[in-house]
Amino acid sequence: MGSDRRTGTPHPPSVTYRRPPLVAAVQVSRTFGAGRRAVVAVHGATCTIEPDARIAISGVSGSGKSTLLHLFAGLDQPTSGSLEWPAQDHGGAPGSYDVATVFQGASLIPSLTARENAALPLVLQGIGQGIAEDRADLALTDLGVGGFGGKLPEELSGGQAQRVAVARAVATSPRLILADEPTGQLDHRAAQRVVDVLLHTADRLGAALVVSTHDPQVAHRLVTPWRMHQGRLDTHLDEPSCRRS
Amino acid sequence: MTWIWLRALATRRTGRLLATAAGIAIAVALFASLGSFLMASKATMTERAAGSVAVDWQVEVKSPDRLAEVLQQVSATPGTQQALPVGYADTSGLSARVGGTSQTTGPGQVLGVPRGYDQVFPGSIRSLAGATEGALVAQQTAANLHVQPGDVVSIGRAGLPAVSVTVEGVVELPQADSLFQDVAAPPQSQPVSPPDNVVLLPRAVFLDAFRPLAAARPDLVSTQIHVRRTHALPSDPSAAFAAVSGSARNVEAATSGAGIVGDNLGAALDAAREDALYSQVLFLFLGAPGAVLAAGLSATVSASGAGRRRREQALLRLRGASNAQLRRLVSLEAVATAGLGGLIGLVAAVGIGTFGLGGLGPLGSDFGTTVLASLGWAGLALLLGLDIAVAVIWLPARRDLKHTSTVGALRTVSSGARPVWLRYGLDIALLVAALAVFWVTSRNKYALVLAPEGVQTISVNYWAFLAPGLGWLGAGLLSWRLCDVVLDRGRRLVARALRPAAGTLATTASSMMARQRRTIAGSAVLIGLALAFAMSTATFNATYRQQAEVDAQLTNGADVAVTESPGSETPPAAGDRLRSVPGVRAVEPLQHRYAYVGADLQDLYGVDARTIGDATSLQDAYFQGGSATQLLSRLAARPDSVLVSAETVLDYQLKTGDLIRLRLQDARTTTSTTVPFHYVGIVNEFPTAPKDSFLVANASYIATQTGSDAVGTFLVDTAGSNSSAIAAKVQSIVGTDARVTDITQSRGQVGSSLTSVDLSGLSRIELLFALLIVTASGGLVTGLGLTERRRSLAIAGALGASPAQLRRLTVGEPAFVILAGLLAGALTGWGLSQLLVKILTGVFDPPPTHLSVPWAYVGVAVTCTVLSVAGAAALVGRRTRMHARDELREL
Repeated sequence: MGSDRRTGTPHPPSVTYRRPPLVAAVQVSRTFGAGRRAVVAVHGATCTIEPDARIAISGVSGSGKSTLLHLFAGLDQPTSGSLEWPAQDHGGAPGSYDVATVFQGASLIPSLTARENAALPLVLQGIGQGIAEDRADLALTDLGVGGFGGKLPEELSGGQAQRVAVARAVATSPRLILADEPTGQLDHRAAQRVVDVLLHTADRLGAALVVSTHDPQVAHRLVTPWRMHQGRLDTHLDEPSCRRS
Repeated sequence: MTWIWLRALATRRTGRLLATAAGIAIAVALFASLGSFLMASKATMTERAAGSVAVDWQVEVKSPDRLAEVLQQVSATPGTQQALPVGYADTSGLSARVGGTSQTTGPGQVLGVPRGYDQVFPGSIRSLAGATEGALVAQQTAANLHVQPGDVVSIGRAGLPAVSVTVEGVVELPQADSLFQDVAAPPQSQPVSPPDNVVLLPRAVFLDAFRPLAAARPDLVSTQIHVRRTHALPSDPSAAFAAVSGSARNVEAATSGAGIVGDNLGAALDAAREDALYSQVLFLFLGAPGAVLAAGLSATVSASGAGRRRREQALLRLRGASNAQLRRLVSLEAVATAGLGGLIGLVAAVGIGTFGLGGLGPLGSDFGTTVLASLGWAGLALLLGLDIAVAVIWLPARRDLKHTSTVGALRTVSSGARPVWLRYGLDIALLVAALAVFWVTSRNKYALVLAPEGVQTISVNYWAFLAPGLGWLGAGLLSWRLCDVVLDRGRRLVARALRPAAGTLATTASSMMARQRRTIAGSAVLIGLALAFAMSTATFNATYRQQAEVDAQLTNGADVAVTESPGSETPPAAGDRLRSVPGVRAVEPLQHRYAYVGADLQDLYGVDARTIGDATSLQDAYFQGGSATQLLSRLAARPDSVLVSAETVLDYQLKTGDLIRLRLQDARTTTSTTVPFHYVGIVNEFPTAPKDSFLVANASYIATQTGSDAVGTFLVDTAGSNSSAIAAKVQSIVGTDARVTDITQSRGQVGSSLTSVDLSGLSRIELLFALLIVTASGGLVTGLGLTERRRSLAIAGALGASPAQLRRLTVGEPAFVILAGLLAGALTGWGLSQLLVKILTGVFDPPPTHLSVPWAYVGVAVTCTVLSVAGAAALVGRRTRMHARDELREL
């Protein structure tokens, strides 16, 4: 039985049934380019992401964190290895209903307001514009940017834009939240708030959370530390593994 | 840094660089092609004008004693190739006794032509029968005297016995008008028509016959020196006219008035220089919008990447680049783009000239354009390309550097501030001004080209350019405003319209379109203006062709016209033998008489009102107060009905039903007889009729009243095909008794008179470029606009949008651009066509009553627009899906 790193309290006993993992990767590699100019971004990564995982992936810039998250999200395909989403009914790549991604840079659509940006994944799922925008407003308020719903991305600061991006990710109530450097452009206080919201949302939804970060304080708030180094994933930094169960 | 920037521009922004260069290339190619066309056109006009003259100068020798001196002076004048003396003598009448009957004519003219005259002046004498040398009689004279080669003709001499000559041949004098001109008299005092009775004698025979008359009556005998001049003239008709008329004046001065020059070549060039100015006007009217559009295309392409360029400059500024360095980079980009576009444009122009227009390229000289002039146009075109590059790349970038902060430049969506022109209603002001200018100019019945006859100065009323120019700009800006309003304030409407295609994403799609409305409106307006350009040009050209055909029909009367000799008594039944010619569909006899209306002598045409339309085209525009059918029905309703010209109606204050008494010659008594008619309507134009006053009445009534049903002209309809071949067969049937002309000849005459501009060449250039601009506007602008939004689409894809949903998100933009562009193009094109035809009304003869819209071409232009926009959207969508991962890596 493991223990919670934050509180030191023992984990509750295992439940009688186990839900399938959200992501199962075996010897996954991703190479960009070919020949002498080929760059191996991810090299033979093997891991699983359980439904209630809280994983922090750390590593220097260019170590392959973002690429790995894109692979988990189904936004990219591995060059070799096996990548599966066993929790999916069809076993194939997940839809936005299942996985939400917070990108590293400015990822808002410039021609949509903050509210419309946050509502877009919901609209894409077929939810009506009105309901989608109401839910987007709630998520924006949770992130402390509720007053900026009518603003265009260019009218927001970098931090505000990033919080809108997080709101957009959580507004869909996903089963897996992948956040790529979500606090990179935020001050300490705002960063903590974003992490609070991500953890709170993940807890509330029963979703897994995977965050790539440089910030040790952010990494510390998550249960499972992974590290990327030159494309290689090390999931055994903290015993027994990335699995919490 | 400069080299790195240029390399990056070529490798990373290849598409945008090529697209901007393509816009410049189109402008350069259009300008170079049109410029060369203009030069070639002018050279052709000069060539045609010179070629149409058989005898370049007719120098009247005022004193017979100084003939040798004048001949020597004329021969020594630079440019003179050959000079021959020709005698002119008045005869009191001609007579001949053929087949036991005697025929006599009234006064006439006898010419004494030297040996080899017809070789020196080809086209001056056309042999119809017999020999080409010896005593020759003109065709009409032969018909009047009923003589043929071998018969003897007596030539009367005032106060002296007649001399007899044996006819060696029958000839036609195609340029009789100038041949028998009164050299010293001003144009308004020239004889109304050439003499009916003409005999040509060898000069030696002439001198023997008329020397005694010259001694007794020197006023009846004179000598002219006919001159053949070099036709190696300046290519511009105005310059050629100045050169030729200058030489003519020089001869007159050098001979101290002993020789007066009848400058036929100068007169032909005088008419051609007016045509040249018309071609210049057409070049400006039809060519300038194309060049402006091509520049607009470059500007729009460049502007669609302006945001990215601004951001790149901002990043460079953040990393320490100075404004001077950035200006240098932008200058290099402008020069590189202009160079590339200019080169492609010139190569395209040469290609178009060589393969598309039969040697009308900027470096071709098939039509008399010198290589130097062509190079000049090529240089000007390159300069235009550079100007466009400076205007669309350098100036906006410089303005950004000056007025935009680094942070502001990093923005990706423009601020919501409305442009100044939109706030102050410049579009409305321009349209109002265009209408006002048009009203003022058309109210005064202005003449677009002012070319006083015989005067060196010639001018164009450039004021007339203002109305279509302002209208075009105003319509473009108004379209922009409407697009802006619809996309912004009509967002819900747009969303509703998009719902069938975009489904639940309609609101999001309309929001995205609203925020990108400036770019979308720009694309729609450019497509609209390009379509308007294509439509107005095509409509103008089609209307021009339509009217040229109408003019040819009016001039010739029908596809083939058989004009009987004056005085002949050919009955209508003679038309039966023409009906038997294969290919002839209908034959209509047309009587031609002269009638006195008060003191005015007018042409009177007798027709069968029920059948005249079978052999010739009668348009509603030929009549006033009703359609052609209505007016002809009125004519047929009463035997004594008559249609009268508007001028006569005004002069005599006629009202419908008024009795008119006309004096006609009675064939039975050969005296005038008064015939009553009733005025039933106004006729403006009629086949074979003159432009001024004339009358149209029922042939049967005229025949009854005058005792003669003699036909003036048989109008022959060939269904528009094989006119020349059928005319030749008809000529072989009627022999030398009648003159047979076909519409092909009339087309040539019409085309070489007022508008000898080779409009078909201009049309091909215009229409080709219009299609090119329409296609490029649709494809490039839409494609590049969507490319700019590739990142947004990649984000949407990452958020879970399926390929179908991505299509739904983007379908609105091309759909709106197509719809708005077509609508703006149709309305602006219609308005411009109306304006163009009104302003260039001097080009048309007769003026059109309705426009001829070439629907096939318009259909092709619309199809090109739709396909290019839809194709570009599909291509960008496909590329976006293919490169989504690359975009995501940058997120």
